[in-house]
This record gives sequence, structure tokens and C-alpha cells, in this order.
Amino acid sequence: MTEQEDFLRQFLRCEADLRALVGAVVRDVHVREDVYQEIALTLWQHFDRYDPSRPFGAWARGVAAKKLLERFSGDRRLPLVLSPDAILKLVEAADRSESQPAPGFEALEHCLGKLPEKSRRLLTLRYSQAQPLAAIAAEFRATQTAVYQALSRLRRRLRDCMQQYLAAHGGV
Amino acid sequence: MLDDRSEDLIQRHLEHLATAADLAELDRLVSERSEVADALWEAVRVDTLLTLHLQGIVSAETPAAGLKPYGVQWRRLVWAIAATAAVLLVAPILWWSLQGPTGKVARDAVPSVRHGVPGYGVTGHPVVSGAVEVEGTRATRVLDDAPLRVVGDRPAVIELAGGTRAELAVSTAAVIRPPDNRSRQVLELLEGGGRFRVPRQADRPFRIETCSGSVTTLGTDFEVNLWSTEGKGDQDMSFRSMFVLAVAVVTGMVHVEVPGQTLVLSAGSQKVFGAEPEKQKDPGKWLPSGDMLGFTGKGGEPFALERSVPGVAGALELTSEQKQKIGAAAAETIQSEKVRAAVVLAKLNPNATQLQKEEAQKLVAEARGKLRQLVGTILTDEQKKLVADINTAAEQARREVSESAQAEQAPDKHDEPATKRWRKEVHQRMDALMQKRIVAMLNPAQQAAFEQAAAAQAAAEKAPKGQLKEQDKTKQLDAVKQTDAVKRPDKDKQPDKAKQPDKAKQPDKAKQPDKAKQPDKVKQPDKAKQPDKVKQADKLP
Repeated sequence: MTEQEDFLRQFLRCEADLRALVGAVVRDVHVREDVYQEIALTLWQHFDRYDPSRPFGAWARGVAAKKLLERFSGDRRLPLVLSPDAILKLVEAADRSESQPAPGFEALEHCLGKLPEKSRRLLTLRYSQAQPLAAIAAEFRATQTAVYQALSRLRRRLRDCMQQYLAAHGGV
Repeated sequence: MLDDRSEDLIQRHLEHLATAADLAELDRLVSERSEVADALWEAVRVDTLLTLHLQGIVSAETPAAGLKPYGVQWRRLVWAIAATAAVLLVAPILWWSLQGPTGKVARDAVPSVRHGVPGYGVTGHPVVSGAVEVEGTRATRVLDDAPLRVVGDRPAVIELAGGTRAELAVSTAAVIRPPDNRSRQVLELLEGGGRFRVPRQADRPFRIETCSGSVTTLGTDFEVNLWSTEGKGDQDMSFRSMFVLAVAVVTGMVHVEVPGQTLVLSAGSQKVFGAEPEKQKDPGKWLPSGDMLGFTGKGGEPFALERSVPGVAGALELTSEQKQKIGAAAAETIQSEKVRAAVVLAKLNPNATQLQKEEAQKLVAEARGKLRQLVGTILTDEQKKLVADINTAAEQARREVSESAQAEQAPDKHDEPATKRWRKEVHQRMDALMQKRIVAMLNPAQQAAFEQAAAAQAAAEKAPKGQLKEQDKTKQLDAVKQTDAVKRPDKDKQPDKAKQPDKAKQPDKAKQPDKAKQPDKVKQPDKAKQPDKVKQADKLP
């Protein structure tokens, strides 16, 4: 396996975690994507510094956090949602979660399959079509607050379901 | 169990509804309480998984991101066994009854499995749309290792192993190589290019090999083009390589390996390889071209005057230091990567849009302006005066010959060969008069330098051009010709444009990222308009 293939394989395994970290602290969707790409490049450029005896995910998140802080420190136009201290706490939380298998796409698919059609439609509008709450509310003839609360409930329900699936099936 | 307030703050944050005060509170809670940090991490992770999954970027079938694909591997194994059994039963019948000498087989043939990768090694890769020829004969499927060429007036879509779809431009020549223990599929691109949509598969890279370098990915949407530079060089751009490799990434990332360079390209970026300027091995012997030094042609445009008056740049008696500085100024301006990439795309890409061409022209004009400024600081006043005098003399000579030519009886414009001969003769007269006038204004030392430069230029022009390049290219051209063996036996006699895709018929969108598939910007809900009362929550899940 070449160095590139090794990198890509490990990188893709922690892609969702890196996107989650960026998503937690950068508000603008387009800036998020730019930052994510910058982090990917930085990781590749510094891949020779990665110690294979340590988890790749932890190393990658550490580099990502540093990159986020570097890029956004003092940039008033694109402020980070969280302070440097909170970002580091979030990275620590991610490191703690890595000690146990994390639910992945198979668990998510399973749990989405258990949802009623209406719930899946709501999630599709929100995540697949990136519809604003107002548009979703109009489609469901509901208030935006109702949509917000429904989405919150659905996310919690999915999280719990995925944890249960994980407990029953192992890390998938 | 997390308290309601923390949970609400996290959910507000996910929906972009959190106010500055909310965020400050969340920030404090995350910093002070690890359970809030844990809950936030879990929530953003689920949110990200939902986004990736529901936008179709990643699924359980295309493992990534912390996924341990035990279940997926099992399903694949079952599928692979079934597919292999089907192939064993059906393939011999199909093979003898349907396969022609060109690898043409029926559309409903069953995919095979090789090195664990579902592929089409036995039955051929289906041509989903467009027209493809193998050894000069139209094929609806293409076998591994068979040289193919896209014909017709629209791109051809071919399905490759592992769900990869290759949309190849017209005139593209390529060979699909079978999966091996490292790659799910290798496409050997001989000429042309296209867009490749590669489903993510973390343990099987997809690779495109070209004579100029390779592009590897585990899953993404990208474009690769290999353009021939033959006959495309001019004053604005000369090429060191016979092929230029252009890579543009729409989503995800790819690795590019070219001689002496390995790099990662991410979504939205594009890069051109092989368009580097000629390297000057001996700066002492190198002479900048006339357009860099301020010589002008018809209409006062920058012009490589040595084309008309060989050795003219030598008359300036540039020092080695000046040559080096001018070389550096050119590298910084008209030979910069950005300018060259833009010019390459405009010149070589048969699908270049008018906007791209205009942008390239603008970039070149700006770079030339900057170069003129820099060269102005490098040349001495005497040299600048000599450049101006030479320009005046050349312009005067041009005008005189042009006026006398207008007074002559020009051949009938419908007699093309005669018109061509006459124009050539006028140009020769023009060049001769320019040379005479320029030499007349030079002092003995300048004349000697002029003659020396002219002799060097003549020697360089006599030398076999690109001998080394031809050697490098032989294998590649042989392979391209192989794909034309039956279809175009007289390829060499055909005009160059025959191998270029019909620009007018190429859809522009093939080159552009598919915006429709890009996630739309998530709009912030108008918080002011949000009613507080939950009147109809029961209607929602």
C-alpha cells in the first residue's frame, strides 16, 4: 500500500468526525467546506509526522483543532461559534468517544428505516434538500417552532436508537 | 442524563437558531462540564452523519467515517458468490453466441468479480450512452485491455467496476485495465479525458494513468483531461511536454502523481501539469524573447521580433545578470503557474468557454504589463533607447513595404496558392528591409553581438526539435494509433481538428461542476418570524 492509499484510507474513516468538529464551530456552510478542505490538505502535508502507533482520528482532530484556531483567531468576519477552550473540550469529548465503537452509517440506516414516513420526509427536507425551517413548516402546515421541536426529537431518537443498535451489533 | 437547558442549547445550535447569548452559555457549559461536551459531540456527529447520508455523499454501502463494514463485507461476499455463479453458468453461452471479434456483447450480461471488486472483466463494461469504437468497430460493451475511442458528437458514458461512471469526451482514447489487488479499476487515458464519478470505497482506489502522471482516488467526482500540445505553442505559450494533464476536482479529493511532484487536490481546485515553461539550462547563453524586452510588432503589440529579424535581442548586449533578472521577471509574470494554467485551459481545452478565453487574455495582458514594468527597471537607458529605435525602424520598414505592396498588382484573391506565395514574398521583403535598417543603426560591437545571436538562433532552429520528447511520446502515440488502427488507418493524413471533439456540440455542463448536486446553502430561518406557540406540533413526527 502506498503512503497515499494509507492516508486516504485512514482519512476517510474519520471524515465524519472531522466534518462534525468543523460543523460544531463554524457557522457558515460554505466556509465549513473550505475549512474542511484546508484541514484535509494540512493532514496530507503533515502525514509524515503522524505516529502510526497512535489513533489516526485523534491526531487528525488535533491538527484540525489547531487549524481552526489558527485560521479564525482574530477574524471578526468569521468568528468561531465556540471559544478555543470549548473547542479543546469538544476534541477531548471526541477522543473519549473513540475509546468505544461509534455508531456509523449502518446504524443510521437501520434507525432511519424504523422511522415513520413522515419523519423521514422531514429529515429529507432538512438534510437532503437543505430547506429552511420556514419552507418545511409551510409544507407540513405547522409552525417553525413545531418543526424545530420535531427535528430535535428526531435527532435525539436517532441518537438513542443508534446507541442501542451499536450495543446489540457491535461497532457499525 | 443531560439537563433540558443544555439539550435545548445544543439543538438550537444545530438548527442555527442560537443567539449570541445562547452560544456564550453553551460555550461556558461545554468548557466547564464534560457531559455537555460529550453531548454536543454526539449531537454534531449524528447531525453530520445525517447530512452525509441523506445528501448521498456516504452510505453504508460506501464505507467511510468510522464505519466498520462487517455487514457490508458480508453482503458483498454473498453478492459476489451469486454473481460469480451466474457468470460461470451464463458466460460461456454469451461468450460464444454474442461476442464479436471486437468484444461486443449483449447489454444484459452479468458483471464479474475480480480481486473482490464487482467488475465487467468477462462481459465487458457497458456503454451506457454515446458511441464507442473498439478497433474501429462500434461496441456496446468494452472488454478490459481493449483500446477504445469515443466517436460521434457527444460524450460516451461507460460503467466501470465498483459503480464508477466515466463520461468520456469525444475522441478520447483509453484502455480499461482490470482490477488488481490494489485498485478497483485502472483507466489508462491515452488522449482526451472526461468526468469520473467514483463511489466511495475506502479500501479500493480508482486510478487514472496517463503518460504525464496518475490520478488516484477512493471516491469522488472529478475531471481529468490529457491534451496534446502538438502545434498549439505560440508567443504566449510554448510547451515543454507533448501532453498537458489537467485535473479538476468537483467533490472530495484526489492524489496526483506527476514526475517530481505528488500532491492532493481537493474539491473546487484544478491544476494543470506539464505546462511549465522551457527550462533555461545556461542563463548566460539564454536570450529573452523580443516580446519580453519590449519589441513590438504590427499595431504596437508585444512581438518576438527575432522571428522576423533573427538575433535582434543580441544587439542589446544584455549582461548575464540582466538575463537572469529578466528570466525571473518572466517567471513571476507571464510564465507564472496561474497565467500558464489559464492559457493552457483556453488554448488546449476544446470545450473552453468564451469567458475562460477572455479571462486568459486578461491575465496575459496584466502579466505582460507587469513584465514591461519590471524589464523597464532592468534595462539601461541606452538599451531602452535602442529598443525604441529598433521598434521605430521596424515599423518604418513595415509601412514602406506594405505601401509598395499595395501599389503592386496583387494576384486574384480567389487564386489561393498565388495569394499565399505573394503574401510570403511581401513578408520576406519586409523582414529583409527591417533587418537592413536595424543593422544600419547598430555600432560595431552591437553588430557583432547581433550576428552571434543570429547564428545561435539559426543553429537552434536547425537542431532536431524535441528529439527527447518524441522518444518519450513514442509509446503514447503508438498506443493512441493502436486505437485508430482500423478506424483511421490514414490518421497522419487527417487534419488535426479531426481528433478534437466538436466544440460546438459539446455540452458546456460536462465541464462544469454539477451545481444541482451541490448542497444548497442552508438558509438561516428568520427568527423574528418564528411564533413561540407550538400550535400544530402534533402534526409533526
